[in-house]
Amino acid sequence: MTEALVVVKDLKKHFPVQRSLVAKLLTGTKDQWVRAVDGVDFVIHNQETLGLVGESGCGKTTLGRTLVGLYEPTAGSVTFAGQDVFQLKKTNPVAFYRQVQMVFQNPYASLNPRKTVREILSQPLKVRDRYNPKELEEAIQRLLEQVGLNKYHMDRYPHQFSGGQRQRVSIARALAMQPSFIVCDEPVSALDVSVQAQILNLLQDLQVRHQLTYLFISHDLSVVRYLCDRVAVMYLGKIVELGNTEEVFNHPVHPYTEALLSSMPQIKRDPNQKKILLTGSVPSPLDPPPGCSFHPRCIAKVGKICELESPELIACSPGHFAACHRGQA
Amino acid sequence: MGIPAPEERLEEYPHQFSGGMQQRAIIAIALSCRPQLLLADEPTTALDVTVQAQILDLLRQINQRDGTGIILVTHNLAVAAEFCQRLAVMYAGQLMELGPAETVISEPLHPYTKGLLRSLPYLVPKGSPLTPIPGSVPDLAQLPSGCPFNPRCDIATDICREEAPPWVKVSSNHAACCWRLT
Repeated sequence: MTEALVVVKDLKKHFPVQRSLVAKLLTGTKDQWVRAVDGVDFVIHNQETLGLVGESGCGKTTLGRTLVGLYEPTAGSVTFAGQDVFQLKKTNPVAFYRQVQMVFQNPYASLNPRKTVREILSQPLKVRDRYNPKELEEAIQRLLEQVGLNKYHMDRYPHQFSGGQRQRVSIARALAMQPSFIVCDEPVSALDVSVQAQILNLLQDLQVRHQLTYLFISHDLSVVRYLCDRVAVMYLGKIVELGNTEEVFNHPVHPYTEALLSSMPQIKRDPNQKKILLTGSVPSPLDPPPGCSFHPRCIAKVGKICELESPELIACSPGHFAACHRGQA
Repeated sequence: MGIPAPEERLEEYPHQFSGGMQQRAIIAIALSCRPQLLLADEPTTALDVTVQAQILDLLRQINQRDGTGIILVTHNLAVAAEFCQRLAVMYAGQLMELGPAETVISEPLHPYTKGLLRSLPYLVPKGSPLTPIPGSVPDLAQLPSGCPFNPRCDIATDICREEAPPWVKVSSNHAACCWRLT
């Protein structure tokens, strides 16, 4: 469990905001950068599930996509089993995608509507290995059975499936390469609770059966608490807290984590628990506030230092990290 | 409505507002004629939890200050449990259960309500599987005979497949639509 599979070092991904030359000349503005991911360090251990939570626009998806090589980082590095992801992806993309796959958020948009399930699944299988038609048929059937579908689904198109079934097809497509690491970007957010439970069970089953490592991106804290071994909390492109799931949920250190947990609606609320209402919304990543990026909304500021210096992510207890001046002063 | 600097923002277009602010503007439109009843259809589904908490807080204030009745339509059981006094559970176009929110959550009567609550990853120990409701929602054009939930129900009997179930009151304010309660 302690072996590091994915190591992320000071990863940054900035996107340029394009402005026309005329606009630049007239208003005198320069090109701006959206700092979607702004200096992130963490490791993902072999066969663990790391949860990544945060509000929309905090850079969760960008971080996930950078890990699977869909975006090239602006700075920093991602290594997978000791090899640099972008070197590996350039020199030997097939070897890379045999190891690393992704399940996307929206099962309605991530499957090609003009291809049948057979076509969707045979493509990665053909890339991975040579099959004769009979073997290919069997391989597709095995994949479908693993995700709880059967061979009768093979010649259907995505629109003939329900949302949960489509997500099963997406998972089968990711499994086709027999990867060891899968980035799941909000795989259950678009689904109803009952279907969500089916997909969560499936993901756990597959993890045990194929010794998979997951990065599980979600804004649903109760799902993350249930599924993940460790959890990372992201705010405006930075990780503000990281630790064992139960530790973070029971003893949050960062004020943002506290606020996030307390605003999570609960079926049965502890009457003693106070609700922390954050004011305002997430600032624009175009122009993040100086110092700690959370300070304009923070209710536990310790002083001027919060507005001037960006806090480092340091250990507050073994295996539990937080980036807040409050604990570090 | 809790929109900061309202004089300045009055002249702005919707795209200049954040999601939470847009929802506040919508609530302002809905309340402009001082209605007695507000129908809020999934008002926080598209929002983040922190913003969701702000919007629910605003709706609660409106309810308490002006006495506006609110029907909150949501698929999020936790939001319903926290926000509402009474809870109605619907399935395939029919009302399945109606009662005080706390009672419906703690002592659900209908097998569908029970199934929904069981499929939540709430208080399930890590590693133990969740119990989803088997099957999926039926086609509304071809509803099964009898109780619409019978093909997915774990306690269905013959009568459930043949006749529509009656509305059974178990207390003065808690009732459900199920043969097994008769």
